[in-house]
Amino acid sequence: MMSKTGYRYKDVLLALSTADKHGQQLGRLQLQKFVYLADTLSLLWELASPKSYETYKQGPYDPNVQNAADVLAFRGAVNIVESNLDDGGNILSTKYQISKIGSQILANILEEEVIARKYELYQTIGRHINQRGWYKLKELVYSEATYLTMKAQGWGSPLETDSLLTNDSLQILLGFNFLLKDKSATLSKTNLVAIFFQVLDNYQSAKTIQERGGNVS
Amino acid sequence: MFRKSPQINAAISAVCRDAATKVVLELPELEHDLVSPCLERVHDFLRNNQRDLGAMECIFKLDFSGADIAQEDLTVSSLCQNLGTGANIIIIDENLKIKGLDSIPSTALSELSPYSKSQACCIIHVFSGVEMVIYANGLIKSELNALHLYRGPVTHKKTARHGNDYILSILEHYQNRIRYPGISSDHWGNRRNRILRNSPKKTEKIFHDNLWNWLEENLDYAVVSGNVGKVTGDETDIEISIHGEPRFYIIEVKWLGTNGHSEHSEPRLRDGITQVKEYLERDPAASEACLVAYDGRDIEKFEALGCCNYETGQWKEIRTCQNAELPPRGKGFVFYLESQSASEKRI
Repeated sequence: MMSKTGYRYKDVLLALSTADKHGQQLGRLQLQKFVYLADTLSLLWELASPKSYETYKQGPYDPNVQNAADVLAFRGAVNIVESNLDDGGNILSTKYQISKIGSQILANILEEEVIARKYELYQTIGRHINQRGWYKLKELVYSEATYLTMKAQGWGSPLETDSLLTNDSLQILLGFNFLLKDKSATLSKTNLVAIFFQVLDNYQSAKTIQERGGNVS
Repeated sequence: MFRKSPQINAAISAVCRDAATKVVLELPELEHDLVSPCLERVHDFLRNNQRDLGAMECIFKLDFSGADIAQEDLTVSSLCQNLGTGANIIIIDENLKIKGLDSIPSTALSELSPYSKSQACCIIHVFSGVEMVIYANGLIKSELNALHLYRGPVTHKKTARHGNDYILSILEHYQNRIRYPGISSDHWGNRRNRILRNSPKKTEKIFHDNLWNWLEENLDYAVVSGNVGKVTGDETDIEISIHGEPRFYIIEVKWLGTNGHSEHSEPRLRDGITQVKEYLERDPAASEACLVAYDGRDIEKFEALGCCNYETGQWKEIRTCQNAELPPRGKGFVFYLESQSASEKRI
């Protein structure tokens, strides 16, 4: 059975490749958040995701994603484009970009149907992030329902996105199927992702209104 | 559950009210990612060209199929040129490229709805240059004004209700918009003689649109679909679907009294009850069907109606009328229309 870090190698390559197609390099926390969004929507693509994200002070965090990025950088599959350290040698900010070697590895593993499907998921999410601006990744993830639910329970709470029982976003999205005229039909996964991002946008707007002193129904 | 927080509730309800989402819910084979930007581009086109377009009327049919057809950009001049050929339907893609032309005999509601339904497509009826009515699969999904687009979640309204509480919302609609004549509803043609208006919309459509618009604005967690009224005999007036629940409600709108051309009384209510029964038999999945009748007759006739529940001089909940009986999942309300304003009535 693949280790959780091993599983995340592919996620990191898929995330960085998708970002690269939009001319983006991802910071450490952006990478965490992009992979988290993919985990959240994985079930729509009939993909499993490891239960390794937890609430953390700067959003959902999975140490395996960071480990995978570090290992891939060490092996030359990922370029560290910039890295700022403080006086104590601690990393302040880092930008990752997929390297040529990483792209070759990805091209090889994309022959696996499951990985190709996962790449489609990342690209669909990437398009929506790109429409809104990559700087908004933090706000988008901070508006995601599962994270909001578990954040209320404090840091270190598990974010179990692999089950309909614990994935609040999927519960909300699948609720839209009940609005279809044809009760035997279901919304396509791309339409559900579009609605997912609309819910995130609207949550942010509602929160902004409330922060400015307004009320929301 | 956190998702019952006010912000998440507002976020879901706002998505339910979004025009593109409503189109996709009616025509799930369409891609939201194409419908949404296309609607925005049409808004922008109308807004940016409002002075040149004047009171232009036309219909845009959205067609995202990848057919390789010679295309031209949608501009004011290309639009005018194409309309000048006698066509009134401009077929456009998501990038506002003109893919073709079509025409229907008139832009009346009774033509637009069947066209949208028979083609299983989304059309935008534009009139007065900036007014837009969006149809999907025969149903009106949204009415927008290109100059005053509403975006983002609604702010708190004291009249907001969960979709399942649609009956309460219908009662509040009566209290807030219909009971007294005024700016919220202009249904009287001649108040003094209690004659209802019948133009420019038909009398039933006046009440239908007003109620639909109210429910659309006030029901949370719901998608409210408005029909074009009496296009065909078996189509419901208003349908309410609930987010996350296998429920939907049907509303049938009627009016009683006279509009100068026709006159309706108890037999109309009986017909409404029969229709409600038919809807529920035809569609076992419907949770409830509700007959909503607005009574423009004299107060004596209204008071003479048999009922199971009432608010004196305002509304009555009925179960039967002229031997017709509502089924268990059927509801019926008759609302009395005041012809005096609230201040006149106090005097």
